[in-house]
Amino acid sequence: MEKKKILLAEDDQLLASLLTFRLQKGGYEVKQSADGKQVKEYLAENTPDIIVSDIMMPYFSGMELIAYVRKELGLNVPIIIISSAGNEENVLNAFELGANDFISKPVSPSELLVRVARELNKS
Amino acid sequence: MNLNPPSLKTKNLLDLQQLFEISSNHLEAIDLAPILEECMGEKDLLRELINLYHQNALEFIGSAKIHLASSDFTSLGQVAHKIKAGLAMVRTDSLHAIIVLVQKECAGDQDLKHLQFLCDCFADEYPTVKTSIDTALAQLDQK
Repeated sequence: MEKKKILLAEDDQLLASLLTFRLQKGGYEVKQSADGKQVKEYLAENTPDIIVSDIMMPYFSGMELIAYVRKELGLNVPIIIISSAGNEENVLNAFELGANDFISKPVSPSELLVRVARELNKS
Repeated sequence: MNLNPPSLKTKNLLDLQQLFEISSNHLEAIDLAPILEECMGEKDLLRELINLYHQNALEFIGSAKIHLASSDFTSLGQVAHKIKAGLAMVRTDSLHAIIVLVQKECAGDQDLKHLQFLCDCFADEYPTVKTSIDTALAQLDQK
């Protein structure tokens, strides 16, 4: 069975390394992107099964990413946003733009795995 | 942390209280067991994450100097934001508390002297935290 592909957009290498490890252990193929440029380059040639993205990223924020995926690319892939506590307004905006779920920092890898599986089961 | 009360430049009593709490707690040992559990017992991964942690901390100290020199509070707030999750992940509460104050000041009053003080506190505290992390790693290796 082919592995589901996850695009992980996170500029914090520490968090990204841990999440990538746990998602790979969970049976997923993970493409890690550290900024908006890498995200755009990847999405130009690939369609992931799900996107997990931080809100604050260099060049291209998580909000811009949602708008780009939904409006410019017209993709319906699930998007889970990673947000710092206290960014409730950003989370609401992310949902309005088309995000499917959000998870607060500090991110629990186990919780992320559950949420990823849930979104993939829905789609 | 070597805090000398008369020389404190912080203007906020709550900040002062928090920093003294940090100071009084700074000798507490760091428990890496929870993060090792997140790493599913993989010590190599834990070491990689700790290396990234140290890189991030040193990068913050360097970036903070540059952004303070140019009074670029937006960039200083961004670098503080970037390091915050890692500090929480490794449960280094003292450094995390300082970074939260840096972010708050960058988003609020943008008082250069206060920010300079907070960034100095971070730079002073980091070697102590590094020693605690190294000790915790050595203890894990012995198990």
